[in-house]
Amino acid sequence: MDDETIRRYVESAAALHGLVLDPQQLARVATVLMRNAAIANELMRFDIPEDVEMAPTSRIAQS
Amino acid sequence: MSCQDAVSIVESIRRGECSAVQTLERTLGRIAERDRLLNAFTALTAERALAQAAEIDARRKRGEVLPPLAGVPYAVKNLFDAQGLATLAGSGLHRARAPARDDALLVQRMHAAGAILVGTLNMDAYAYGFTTENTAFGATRNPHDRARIAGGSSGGSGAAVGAGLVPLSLGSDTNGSIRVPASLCGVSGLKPTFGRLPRTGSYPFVSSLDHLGPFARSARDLALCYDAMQGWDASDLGCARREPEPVLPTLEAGIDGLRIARLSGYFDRFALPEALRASRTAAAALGAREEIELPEVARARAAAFVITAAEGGARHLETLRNAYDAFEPHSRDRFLAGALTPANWYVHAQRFRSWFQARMAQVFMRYDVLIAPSTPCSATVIGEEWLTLDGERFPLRPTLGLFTQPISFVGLPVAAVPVECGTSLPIGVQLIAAPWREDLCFRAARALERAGVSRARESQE
Repeated sequence: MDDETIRRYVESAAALHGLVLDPQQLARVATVLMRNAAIANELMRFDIPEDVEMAPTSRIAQS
Repeated sequence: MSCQDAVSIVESIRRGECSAVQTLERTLGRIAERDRLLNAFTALTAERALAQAAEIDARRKRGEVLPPLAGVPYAVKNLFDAQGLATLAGSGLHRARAPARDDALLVQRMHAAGAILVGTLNMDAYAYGFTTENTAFGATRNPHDRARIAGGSSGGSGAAVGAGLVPLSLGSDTNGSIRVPASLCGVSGLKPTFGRLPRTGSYPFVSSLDHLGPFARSARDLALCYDAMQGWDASDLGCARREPEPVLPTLEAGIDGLRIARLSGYFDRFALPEALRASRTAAAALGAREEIELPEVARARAAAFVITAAEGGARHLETLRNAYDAFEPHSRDRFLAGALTPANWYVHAQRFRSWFQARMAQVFMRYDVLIAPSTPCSATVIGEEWLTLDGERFPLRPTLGLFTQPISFVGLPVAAVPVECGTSLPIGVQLIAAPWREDLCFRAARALERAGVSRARESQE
């Protein structure tokens, strides 16, 4: 994923969230999101069996 | 010189060798003398503490049976509500908040156990950090080398105990925020099973990952503190409805018959020499001959990272929208980026969590305790931005949790304990067990102490 794609995503997504970012903020957030994307991509490449649901977010299994 | 340990304080007060007020006055004196160099504390609660100490002394004079932590001074990370103080959660913006009306539930339980709250402790802003380099309140310094970090985000909690200012403190751990400072400050910390200790009255970070837990200078003190805090609370939706399961009664049970293995692979690959040495030293001392690699642990860390970014960012979006300039500079852009996390990443991370939880359950059918380094390295210099691991350069601040994140991701209990292996700075290991088996973590921790391999160093700073 290239810098420009990330930059455009950040600008658009920020606007959707009601955030107005100046060019320096935009650049910084884009840098962070680029690193996050690299981390997330490793995760996204992993195929999870279809029957595996999201983990319950408020309780773990009681033993 | 450090304070006495908690158990000794309790016994001294019970026997009348010293009073709770005397113990407290010595504690406040140590804090006054040394905390200006460490910056562990953000507030002191001396007046309330003196009243509580006097009450303990009065109860003893009346011949009452004293509770298990009677007269023990302790402090809490400043995301715990403390009655009469604004709950800072490491944020300068929170100075203006109304003071907490009540103590956090764990603070109430510590009070019921006779422990005396002396103050609140510095942390990374909103708990999003592993270094406690806080722009609003200053960096907390490592008690063994003041040019270095104390770790985070419970840096004040780790440093206060590491410096011997107090024998006990409380912190929180979402991705490693108890275990990282425990390692870097050379003390013991417990991240219990997710849902074991209620989080009622503490400022949240990531609801699906937040844990609260204690720091201490010994396994015995850690156990005493942990046992005093156990019990369900309906107000915390993440709290499990389980009866307290005290660990102190089995602390000296030893490790005979326990199946213990050292985690290799990922946990070796990204470990600097001191971390590898600590892990191997602990394994040798516990007679762990097997080494195993966990499945997809790098992806587990990635998933914890994504969940944290998304949930943390969402929580603070409104504040970032309205007060960006006043937000902590070290983390505001990370929170912003997190708030923009694509939903598909988050969903995939939570599904991966189910998958990984099932894999870890299988691992714990074969093993009772797993050993891994708590941190990839010992304490780094304050202000350092980068860390090189396995020939690759990483931004330091998010990377110190590389070994802790995959474990807390699925809520496993961990005792993080210091290991003496000839390093100039402290470093520690994680002793990891199956859900709800904190007792095994403690037995292994105590075994390391008896083997002479684990102890809290005296701070020379």
